[in-house]
Amino acid sequence: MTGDEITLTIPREAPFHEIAHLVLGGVAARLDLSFESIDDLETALDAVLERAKTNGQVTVRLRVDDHGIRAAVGPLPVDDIRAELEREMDESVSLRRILETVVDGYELDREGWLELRKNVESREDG
Amino acid sequence: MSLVRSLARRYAYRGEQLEDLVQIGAIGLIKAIDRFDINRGVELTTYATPNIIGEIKRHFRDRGWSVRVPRGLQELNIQLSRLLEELTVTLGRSPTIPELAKAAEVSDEEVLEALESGRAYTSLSLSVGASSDEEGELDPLESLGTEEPRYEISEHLAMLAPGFRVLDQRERQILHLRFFEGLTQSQIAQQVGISQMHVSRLIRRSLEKIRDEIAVDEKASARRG
Repeated sequence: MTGDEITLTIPREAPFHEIAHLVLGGVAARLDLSFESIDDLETALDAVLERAKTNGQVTVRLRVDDHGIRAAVGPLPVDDIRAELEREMDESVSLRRILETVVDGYELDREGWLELRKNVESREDG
Repeated sequence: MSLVRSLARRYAYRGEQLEDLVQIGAIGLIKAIDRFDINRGVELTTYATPNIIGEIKRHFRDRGWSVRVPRGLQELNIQLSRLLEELTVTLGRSPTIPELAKAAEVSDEEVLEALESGRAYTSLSLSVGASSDEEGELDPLESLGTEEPRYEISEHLAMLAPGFRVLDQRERQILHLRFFEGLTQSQIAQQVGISQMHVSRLIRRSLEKIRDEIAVDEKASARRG
């Protein structure tokens, strides 16, 4: 499975997020990620999907490598997302706080794709 | 109340009685009145409308989720919730999907589907005490332990953090432990005295409630602006 990419395009409304969860969960299960790690990744995915307000659809690209799973979501309103990610963490449950808690890494590119990373090693945590 | 009735009428064709929706919308109106600040120079009706609509939409979302889950998936979810607890203790870590599937004697895909369906199953009563759903079944997770939390969360979060005011005490506590203290789901489950799957559901539900609340506030601000 390593090196493969799965691309899923769904309407951005919340009920369709379930489809993204199932695909993400299926891929993550094959990597032997724990229930807790998969749940964390889905929490991150939901937080990002919620912000995909630029048009009626959103795409999720899943990639597996030797280190774990990467889920890139886009296109996102890049300026808004960047502002959220650069804002100092306060007492709100902001996007930055959610991502820094539940995934091992994230990166926003110039085109508005936000990539989430969860490492296989995370299964040993907690 | 004529405003509530007018807004409720928009949603009355979706299988709910108009009077029920008016009652639900009235809750949104009451919340709006509680928060309304006359000094902001905006009409109460302008401020209340997104609150009323938000309350009605929340009802449809919750109700829709709670009745769509097939019984077989509900039962598998109950089983998985118990297995998750047992395997976490046995393995000393959160189990993988294949480990859950093997213990439940089902496929990985069935586990994933049951977990996904189960996350929405009890969204009407996630953070209340032991209660039963419309079909008379006890929430599987609420039966696993409801020891009162010993951890005291600072209530000022409810005042300062956007959206936190719509959460109850347990929801605030769990979000605080997860996103501010950095505890894992299993650590929170142990500390609060509920199952790990219940913690998972409460986190998702709480984040949804915060997002809904912030969206309502943003709409109200946009109308004012």
